[in-house]
Amino acid sequence: MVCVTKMTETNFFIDSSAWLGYLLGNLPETKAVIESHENTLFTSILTIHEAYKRLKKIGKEPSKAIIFIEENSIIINITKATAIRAAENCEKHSLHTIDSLIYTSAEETNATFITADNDFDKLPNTKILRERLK
Amino acid sequence: METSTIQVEKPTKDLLNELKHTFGSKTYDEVIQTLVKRKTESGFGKFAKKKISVKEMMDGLRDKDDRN
Repeated sequence: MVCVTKMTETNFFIDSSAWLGYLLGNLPETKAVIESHENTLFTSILTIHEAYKRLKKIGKEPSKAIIFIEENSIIINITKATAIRAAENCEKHSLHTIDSLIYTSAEETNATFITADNDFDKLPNTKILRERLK
Repeated sequence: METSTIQVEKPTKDLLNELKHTFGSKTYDEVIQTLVKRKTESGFGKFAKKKISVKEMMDGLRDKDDRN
């Protein structure tokens, strides 16, 4: 288990939707969080899978995008302990499997969870990014 | 802030010393923090083929058929 004990507001766990919003340029709010030199970013290994798959379909250069994510954040693997805690969180927060695995990883790094997915609405330490409509 | 001791190999310590000088850091802790927080050039919007909405982006991103 990754244990980041230094609880600061500058630790952010970036969900797949937030990474895609940044890489595709449709969520400008992500820019400040992702590009700040004050922030430590974390990304789930599952996001590597989701971002690659989605960019292959709707974006471009998925391999380069994955390298970008790796160079700008710390990749968090799924451990047995995380998998079990995520199962508990599925029930506790009524989350889907992947949602729960990623959210539980964010909890374990003591980071603020950044997402554009409304299914995480009202979860502790979570910031939902919304598209600004013109 | 509470501190703790970590072991690194000699070449790593030499590298940290070098980076301490390069970054103008006062401590090894500062060097490590700088390395962890280091960012590349902006990648904002660089992987888009065309402009799409967030809704379009989210469609099919994650399989959500297994809610409890």
